[in-house]
Amino acid sequence: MRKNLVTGIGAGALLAAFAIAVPATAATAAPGDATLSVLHAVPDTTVDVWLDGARAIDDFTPGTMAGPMSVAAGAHTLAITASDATDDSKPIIGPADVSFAAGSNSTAVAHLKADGTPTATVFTNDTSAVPAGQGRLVVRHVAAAPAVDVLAGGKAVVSNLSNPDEQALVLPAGTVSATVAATGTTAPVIGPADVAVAAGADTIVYAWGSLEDDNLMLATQTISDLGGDPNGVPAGNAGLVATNGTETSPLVIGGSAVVLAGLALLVLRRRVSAVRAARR
Amino acid sequence: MHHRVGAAVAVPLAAAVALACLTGCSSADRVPGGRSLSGDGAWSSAAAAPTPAPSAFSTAVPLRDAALPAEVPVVVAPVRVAVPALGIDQAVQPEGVDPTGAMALPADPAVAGWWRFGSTPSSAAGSTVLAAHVDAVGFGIGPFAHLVDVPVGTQVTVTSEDGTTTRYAVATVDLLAKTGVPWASVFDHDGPRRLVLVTCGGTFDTTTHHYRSNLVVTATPL
Repeated sequence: MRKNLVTGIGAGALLAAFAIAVPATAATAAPGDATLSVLHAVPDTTVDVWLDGARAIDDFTPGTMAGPMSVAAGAHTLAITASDATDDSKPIIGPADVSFAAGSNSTAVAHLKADGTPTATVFTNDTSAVPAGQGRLVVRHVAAAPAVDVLAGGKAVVSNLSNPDEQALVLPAGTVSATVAATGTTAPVIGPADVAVAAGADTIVYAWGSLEDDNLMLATQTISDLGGDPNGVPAGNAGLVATNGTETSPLVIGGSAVVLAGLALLVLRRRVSAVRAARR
Repeated sequence: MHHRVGAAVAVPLAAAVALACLTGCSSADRVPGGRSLSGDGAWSSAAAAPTPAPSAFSTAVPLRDAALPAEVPVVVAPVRVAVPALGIDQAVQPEGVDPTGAMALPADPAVAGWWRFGSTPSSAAGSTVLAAHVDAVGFGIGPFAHLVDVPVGTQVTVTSEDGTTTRYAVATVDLLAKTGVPWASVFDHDGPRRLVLVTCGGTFDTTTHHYRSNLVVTATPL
């Protein structure tokens, strides 16, 4: 189900149109809070962030991540103003109606569109579990730049990523040396940069800034506790120290004692025969 | 998946004006006064709102520099574990996941595995997990078999690859049915710094050739 929510009209009749996808489960989800982080990725601009008419983040500087914080599930109004605003009546971005499902985890990003104008995008973070020893690397393009590829080990692991899209991959935890290049090329516009991908976590990398202004850079966000742990530690297979009953443990231990004694005898015999053979 | 929130600035000229204004608003021009989140961050009762009033921002929102760290943190792997009181002193090697999703272990019980996707003794938080077979076919009984009755308070020393040693004291010893081990807690990344030694114990299933329990020993830094 995809649903268009209320469209906010900013001062000066500037249009703030957006669409919010509401998961099909939202209607039946239990009441609860949602988790929200906010990334400021508009270069050179200190702002205030307003949620439902109240100042939520004061003097928010570029390259800063706020949160995670919990917000009530449901509809909210988000606006971003100059840092000296006394209310949210003259937003730079928004006002925009956003909706968060109970239990969801989102990141709202104030950033530049590909053409360099300010905007904001709400990403829903994938908090599903990852396999043991693996992590999820998410790349988000929120820069004033054309579509990009992300190259690791000389090949594109993310292809043709456009503002404001994201691509995700689940991979063994470790360090990824990545470069960002215009799609179809290999000349880096960002990097190479080492990104640590942790097991059991989302490592979210934002490419932000402006290609034209030569200030493209990377920001990161980590969401942990997404599994990634082993499902067990099988640490014994001989039963030599087993505590169970008389029928198994003594037999096994006794048996191994017999085996050891037998091995010792065998070794002795071989030595003896070797000695005998040497004497011959 | 993303949702467009949309730009208020649809006209390039307006954008330029807005940005010019913004860049002119240096931090020195801030509106003075206590705009703390706990102050005016409180919600004006959203009576008209069709949804529950948000409860957020009742406390200060944590802020951090989101820049990608210039250098990936160096991982200093543990290479040796010793429990002198029990005669345990054995090598440690990094281990990952086996094909069943369990932690892989060295075949030889006299070598312990370190869960290489988790914390190290020098990590600021979380469990450093070292595990070794209690016994293995072809090798016999391993040193970790002595852990079964280790007294609380017993000292454990872990040596890392840079030569540093970290001392711990045994805090808890639990023999847990394998179906009930809280693995997320054993392999915890975020909680207090600690050492967790894992092996097997209890009864042995002669059909599967596995022990039915894990011995989990937790030790806290000294």
